[in-house]
Amino acid sequence: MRKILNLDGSIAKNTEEPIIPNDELLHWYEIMVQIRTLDTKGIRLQRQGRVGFHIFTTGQEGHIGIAAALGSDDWVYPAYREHGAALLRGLPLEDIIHHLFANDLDTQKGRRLPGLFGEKNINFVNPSAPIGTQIVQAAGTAYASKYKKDGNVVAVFFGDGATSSNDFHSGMNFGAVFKTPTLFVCMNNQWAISVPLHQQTAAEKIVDKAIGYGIHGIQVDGNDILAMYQVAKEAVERARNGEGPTFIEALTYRLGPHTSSDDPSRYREDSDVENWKNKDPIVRFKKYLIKKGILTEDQDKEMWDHYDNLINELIDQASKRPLPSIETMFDDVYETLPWHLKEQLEEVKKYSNR
Amino acid sequence: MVELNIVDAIKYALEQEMDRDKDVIILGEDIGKNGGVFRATQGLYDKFGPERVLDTPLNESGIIGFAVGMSLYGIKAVPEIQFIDFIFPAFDQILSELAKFRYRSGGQFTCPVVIRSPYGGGVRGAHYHSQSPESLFAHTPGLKVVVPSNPYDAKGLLISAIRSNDPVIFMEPKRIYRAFKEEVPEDDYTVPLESAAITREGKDVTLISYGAMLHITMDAADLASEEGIDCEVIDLRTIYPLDIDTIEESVKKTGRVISVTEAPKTAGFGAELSALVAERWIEYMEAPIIRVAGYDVPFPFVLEHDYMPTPERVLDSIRYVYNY
Amino acid sequence: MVFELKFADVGEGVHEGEVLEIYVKEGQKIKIEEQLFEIHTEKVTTDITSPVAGVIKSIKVTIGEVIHVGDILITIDTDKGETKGEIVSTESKQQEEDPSLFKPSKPFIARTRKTQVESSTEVINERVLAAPAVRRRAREQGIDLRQIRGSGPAGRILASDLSHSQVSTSSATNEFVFKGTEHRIALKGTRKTIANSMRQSKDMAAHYTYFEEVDMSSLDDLRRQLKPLMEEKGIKITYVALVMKCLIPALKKFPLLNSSLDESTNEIILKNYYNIGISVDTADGLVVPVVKNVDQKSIWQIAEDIGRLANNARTGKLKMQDISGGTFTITSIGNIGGVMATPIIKFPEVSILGLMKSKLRPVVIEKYGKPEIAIRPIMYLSLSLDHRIVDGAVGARFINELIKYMENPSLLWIDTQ
Repeated sequence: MRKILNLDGSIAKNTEEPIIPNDELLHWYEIMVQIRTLDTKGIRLQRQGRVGFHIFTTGQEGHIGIAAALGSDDWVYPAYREHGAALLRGLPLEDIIHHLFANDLDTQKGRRLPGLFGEKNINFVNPSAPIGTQIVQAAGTAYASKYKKDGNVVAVFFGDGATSSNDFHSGMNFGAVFKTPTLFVCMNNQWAISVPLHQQTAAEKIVDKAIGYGIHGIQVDGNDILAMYQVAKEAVERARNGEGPTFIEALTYRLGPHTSSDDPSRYREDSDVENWKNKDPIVRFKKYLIKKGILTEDQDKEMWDHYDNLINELIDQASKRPLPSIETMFDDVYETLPWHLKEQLEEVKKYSNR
Repeated sequence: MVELNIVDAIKYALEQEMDRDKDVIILGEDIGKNGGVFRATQGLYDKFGPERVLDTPLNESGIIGFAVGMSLYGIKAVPEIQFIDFIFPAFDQILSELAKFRYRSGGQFTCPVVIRSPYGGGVRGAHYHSQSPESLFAHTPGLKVVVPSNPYDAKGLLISAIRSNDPVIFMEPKRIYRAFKEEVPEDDYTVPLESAAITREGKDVTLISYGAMLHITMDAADLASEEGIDCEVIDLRTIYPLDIDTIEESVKKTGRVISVTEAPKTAGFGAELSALVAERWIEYMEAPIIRVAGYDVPFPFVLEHDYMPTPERVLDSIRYVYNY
Repeated sequence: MVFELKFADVGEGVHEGEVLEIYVKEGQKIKIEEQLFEIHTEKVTTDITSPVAGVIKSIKVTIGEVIHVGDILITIDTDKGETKGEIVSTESKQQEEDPSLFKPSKPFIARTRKTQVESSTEVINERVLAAPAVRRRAREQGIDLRQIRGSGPAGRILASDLSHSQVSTSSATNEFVFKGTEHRIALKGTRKTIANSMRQSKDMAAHYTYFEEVDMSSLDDLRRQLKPLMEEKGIKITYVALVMKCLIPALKKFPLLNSSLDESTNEIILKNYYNIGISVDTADGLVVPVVKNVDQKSIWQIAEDIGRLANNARTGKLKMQDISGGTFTITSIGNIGGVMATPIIKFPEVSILGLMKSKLRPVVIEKYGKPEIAIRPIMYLSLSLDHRIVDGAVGARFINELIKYMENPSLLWIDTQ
């Protein structure tokens, strides 16, 4: 398993510290802070009944390392715990807040559960909820890039549960057969809602599955953002060189519940969670940044406070926005509105109070 | 003009569109070197090469998911599902992904894939090579469902489908793939989607059908005319979203409507047609709205011709509504 | 569950009826098939029995009331006394905590279970049967469909019924007072039925009529001989009864005349049973009761049947079975007058025999090898046939055969079994 950062933030023995500009490292950390803060705010909003749903990224912020290895023309298929990748690729923070409130400024037009969003202009594909469907799509997108000789690669994220899905198999197999420039990134957070990994697969390691597909596989510490960046960087290079896809198994842990509808105390031990809290990717990365002299404790506290305030402010603004107009219910089913949708729109307008 | 049967017309459409636009890519099982099990892609592998004519692994969900991914990147993917009976593993990709991408992303991501697939009975294929599941797709907002009944329409509709910015399920009536030839322009032309055709004008009874059943319907109309009953026949061509204006005009004229479809009757597309007519123009109806359809059983094998509508079965319904 | 029994078309275009008798009371427990009503209609009088067992909930009609097809006659509680039909109150039930997001504003059970219908003696609105297009036309023409009797199946109002619709509801046929220069009589009831069936016959059958004359001397003699016996038995034997008897061997020899055409299968149905209809002139119009199995009956039985049927026809007491199942028809046109006629076949039968009045006429006969004029009772026969089935030659041979027996009735006990 690839690992660069020790828990205390030092560089592990016999490993190569990747060379990354300081401001970039700080930017990664800043995004970690933003999405962790979003989680604490999001669940409160949901419990207050102000937003309908919340999906957590807590504990899986290491994915930002994968995203950091990609160029802006590359593509990302998130599972749904990859908000950090979206922010890193340039999504404005307020867009996520508007999306949580599904208001008139939500670019998903209020159609998605909060957390399930995508953005075309950052090549961040709108995720599904049926598990695993994006894996084969990512292979297809990568094939299209390869066919057009654009040199762009596609990173697709999915969980350990998704490795049991049909389209994990489809995607791995199609990606391998057509040698597509794809990064298959399994964020192995140990739990598919309540089902633990050993009930998901009898394989010793998920990464072993890559062998059967003829795909290069690598296991990495998913809570080590530097290791994540490094394996992704290598995989991107292989892909751009025409060497085909790479399967990355990132070992991590879902520190929070599956979603706001889930209570993990029903199926897992607190001690297990405590154990993984010690490996928190944010804590580890912070120690690294402090060790390197990029960040001080004061700056850190300031950063957390800043985003706490900013997000509160954004929430306040977003919550005052109206819902999307009734017309948006019928937009985007087709390129143009067929006769029956026009009729149905006229009908619903009669009953709508808005 | 060339004399073509339906399967050749489809091949011509694919070839011309691939000539026109290098971003048109076809994929599916056995479609490359073998030219497809029905030969609908014969010669395209040699002409366009393995990068544009993909012999895929045997995995329908994979074929469609891969096509969805390609099309999100701007490729016009035209996958073939060898028999539509094999499409069900891909339902998740079709219903949850293909049909919903534009909507769920607020119009940002589109995947206008055209899924070609031979459908229908009458070819001694039994349950897994004979079904006609159009109503399942017509029940899925976001998809368009197209079913040609003749070579001219097959070419023109397929070209329209490929140029459409919406995903299309293009169902090919394999029973009549090679049943007859007709003159088809060699040039580029399109038959618009969502536009029905009147294939026979009449004043007494409106018969609505599409695909292979259209020919059964036309035969029934001939039999009826021998009895002095003047039937109008509508070929829907695109069943969803359908051409409501053509239906309206005919229904108001005749006041009698029969749909002819080969899928099981219950909740089949005929039910939708009946409901539309009843909801909108009940006051014009001189008689009950009738569905002539396959029976509500899994598609049989040796008894398939008893299962599917025949001209005689349609004729009986014509007599019933005419004399009502 | 409450079962509603509706008045149905009891046969051949019945649209309305009169309640003659009610055999049950509200609250009475009844068995399945138990007799409920006697109903008189334009054509038949019939009993109506219950299709279900249960307790009579309410009777919606009264004796003497005129009812229409589709009217509810009676409601029957089919599970009275059992608790399963009762509505369980949910108001007092403790609602279990529902962890799902969706909370119905009211308990589902109260809305999904059908609430009990208030028992009422009010007559439920009349159900008019008509295709939607017919309803639209009626509305456009300002016609109230409830005022129209349909001539379609189950009394369904056809488009053609609208054009005949008028305000008059009088059933008068021969006594009326002119109001203005024209008086319009609604075509309905028996008249409507006759009109439709005649039209259908003329549309469907390829009519031609064959005329012949028959010397009635022998049948006259026979009748005279029977007269004392008739008086003794109280049975009047008419020519019709005698002709019927003579018809049987002729029909057996030419079975095509006792047939019908099944157009759905394109088959001619030859009938080895001989049910002969007789046309009876009634105040409401023509009615054709049928004498069943004539070949198995004596002349006495035939005459007795004819007398009973004709009487019932005139008094409106014919039952359904009395007017159905005919295979051949005799019409006694000549009772009133006329020389020849072209009767209309009672479709789907293929033959109808018209009997003109038997009259003494001068005829040329052969006596001792020489022609001479004689005075004989002569009856003209007018036989209409459906040429689709019976060719002219067959018809001619048939009538020769019939005349053979009519002129020599003694052959009946020689030729026939």
